[in-house]
Amino acid sequence: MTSLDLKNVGKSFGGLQAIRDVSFTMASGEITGLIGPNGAGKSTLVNLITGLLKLSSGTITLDGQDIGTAPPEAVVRLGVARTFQNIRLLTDGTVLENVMIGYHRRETASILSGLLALPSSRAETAQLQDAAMEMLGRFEIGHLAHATAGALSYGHQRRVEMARAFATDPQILLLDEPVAGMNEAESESLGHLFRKLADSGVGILLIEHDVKFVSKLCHQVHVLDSGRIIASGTPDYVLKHPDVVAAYLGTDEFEGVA
Amino acid sequence: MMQFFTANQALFDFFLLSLGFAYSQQIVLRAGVFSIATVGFVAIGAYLAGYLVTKSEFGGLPAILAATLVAGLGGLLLSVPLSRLRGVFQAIATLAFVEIVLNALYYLEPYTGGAMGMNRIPKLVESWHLLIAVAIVIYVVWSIGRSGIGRAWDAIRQDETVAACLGVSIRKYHTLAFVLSGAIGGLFGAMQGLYFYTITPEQFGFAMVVSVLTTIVLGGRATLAGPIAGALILAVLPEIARPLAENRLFLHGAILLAVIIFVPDGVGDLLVHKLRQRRNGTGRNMIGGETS
Repeated sequence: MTSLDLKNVGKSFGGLQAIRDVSFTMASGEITGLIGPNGAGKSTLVNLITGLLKLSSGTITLDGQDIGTAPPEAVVRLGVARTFQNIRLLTDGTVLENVMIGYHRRETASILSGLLALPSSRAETAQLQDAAMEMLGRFEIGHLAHATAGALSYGHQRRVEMARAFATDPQILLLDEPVAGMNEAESESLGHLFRKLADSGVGILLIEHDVKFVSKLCHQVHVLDSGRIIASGTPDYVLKHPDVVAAYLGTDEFEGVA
Repeated sequence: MMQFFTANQALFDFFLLSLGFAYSQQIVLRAGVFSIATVGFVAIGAYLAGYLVTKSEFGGLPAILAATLVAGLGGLLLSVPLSRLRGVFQAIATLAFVEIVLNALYYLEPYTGGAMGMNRIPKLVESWHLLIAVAIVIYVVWSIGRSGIGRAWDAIRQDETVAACLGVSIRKYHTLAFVLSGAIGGLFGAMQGLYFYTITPEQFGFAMVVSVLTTIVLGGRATLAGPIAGALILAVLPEIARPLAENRLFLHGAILLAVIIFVPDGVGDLLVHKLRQRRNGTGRNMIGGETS
């Protein structure tokens, strides 16, 4: 059982306080939702957790181990993987190559064996190729293994990115708007996939706009607005919370104008 | 056949040497490092091998190995400050490195012969030596393409942030690229030094930087075939264009422009991609990173 704990996390860019005093905990085997309007700081928070941005204040710990100051490659080695809001694949590579690089932290062949194509390096490449094919199967995109990643449809690219993140064998997976721009059927099938992943023991942080989608999948939802958590709890609870309604639909003054 | 070979031997050797330089250049570009330090490594290799052979008791092979080692070490040292830079800043800093090496060659006259260069170097390198060296380098580059190193480089080149988020240590793989580029540059520099009887600093100037880069632009920066195609074009082109005499440079520039506009990935890379597409259409394919 792994848990990711954020305590009083803050981030400022110059004078702009993008994240202030955010605290929450998420555990493996659960899907935790993080929702909030545009510009609330959701992606900034993901960048802080994965080490792409440096914390201004607070702590982030994984099972008690401080990862707040660790660089991205160290964070993923400890078991925290992510996808990007604006899908970032290696567009020139094939789908298989994209997923194979996800297994990088499993690689043990020495540099020398790689330079000389020694058996250990070749065996590793073959083994990772098989593992990647199996992973593609789990995400139902095995038939696309040899297609160029950049040429795929949006929905397939999302799946490739998730398969790649999942290849790092994470305990915690941060999905930044995974169903953005997808139709209902597509997001439904991804929802089933997330459920399966969570049941296999992975902790998923689902960052979304789509309130309906989140409330179907998550027991625990945090709502971020202007860099602060304004409500936490079950989907039913937070969606009725007056601050959340105000953040999403506007305040009374706005209604007064309408 | 044999007659053709002896008639064109100089051309063939020139092709092999530029192929070596091109791989030294390609390796850094492939790893997403915009370094043009290759010519600096080549100069170090050429002068060191020349010095060891003429001024001390070194034989050809030990001198070449020493030059390879020292240039590789030079790459390691260079990577320390330069791994912090990116893109055009890296290019400018590595160009400065080439200038520093060049100036050192002029100023260290007691060792390098200054502007007069180093003369009366015994010719210890023959065509088949060059062929062996090229074969070794091609084998290494081919191996890299089928290993985790090639996968890491391809990832870093395409998106450094993504590579880092997947656990790839950018610093480690950039350093490796610098070291290999230095070693390969030093190797072929040493072979050039022990091939032409004489070396002068101006051989390793900006013109050579441009020519090495041109090889990669023409041929391609991601596949094994890239440098081969580029070096072939650059070796054969002047021969074909011989009748054009003073318009040769014009033709050279026109072809470069045409390739940049119509085949931006380079001729060699384009061929490999076409072949791969055809193969994937019909059946099983080999997976080997970008290089094949």
